[in-house]
Amino acid sequence: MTNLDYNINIDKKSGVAVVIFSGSIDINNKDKILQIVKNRLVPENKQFVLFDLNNLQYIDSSGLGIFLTARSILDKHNGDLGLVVTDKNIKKILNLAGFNKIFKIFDTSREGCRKLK
Amino acid sequence: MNLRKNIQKDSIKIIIPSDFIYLKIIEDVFWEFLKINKLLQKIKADEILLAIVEGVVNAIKHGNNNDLKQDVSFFLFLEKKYLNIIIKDKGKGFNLKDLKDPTKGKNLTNKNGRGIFIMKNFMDKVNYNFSSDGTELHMRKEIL
Repeated sequence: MTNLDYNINIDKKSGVAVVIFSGSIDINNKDKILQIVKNRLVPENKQFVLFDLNNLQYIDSSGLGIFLTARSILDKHNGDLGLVVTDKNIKKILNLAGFNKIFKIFDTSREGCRKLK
Repeated sequence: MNLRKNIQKDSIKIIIPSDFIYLKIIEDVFWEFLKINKLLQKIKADEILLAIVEGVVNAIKHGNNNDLKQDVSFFLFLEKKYLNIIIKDKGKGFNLKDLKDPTKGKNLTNKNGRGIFIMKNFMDKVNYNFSSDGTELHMRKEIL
């Protein structure tokens, strides 16, 4: 489960960067997430970021850990990381890990762009 | 590799070096095993696979310290109405009492420590056996 694809869209109104992931986030590709944050988003002053997980098929605990690292990086730049997810399987894993207590989680990117900042 | 040819009807054992790239083989074997035994509709396969991956990652990372010379054994078998999984590594083991609930307080922001918690939530039974030969993780899930 090492295929991970992504697209980055910038919401014109809010300036929030929406990273739409598809495939899997696991121990073999988790560092790709950090590269996106460190090498693409932060240098372009995109410190408010949404990870859209609605097309994601799979995530393991390594992937969950990397979300925390990504959020720490954005936090150091006075930003924040929100998650967009409605898929019940992915949501179950996030809730199991307690991420519903520490991340802003939205049903849609549009809602996230309005409320993240 | 023709997985179907190499999987016995109700059990399979494979041994991988301690490298995460070999997780894909375990995942492929798992899906093929479910297909052969017509279990795809009878269990929550995605959740069991996640528990397996967490167990193997722990075995490679914490048990064998990513040492390629140390193997991880993966054993999948059916017994009555249960799907059983055994994952072995060469590690000394750990104290289960040291595990913290990742959903509580300061632990929420720990970047590690969710693997066993996920396993326990997705499987019916999760046990660790520690011996001089290494560590064995036993997991079991009822087939509906």
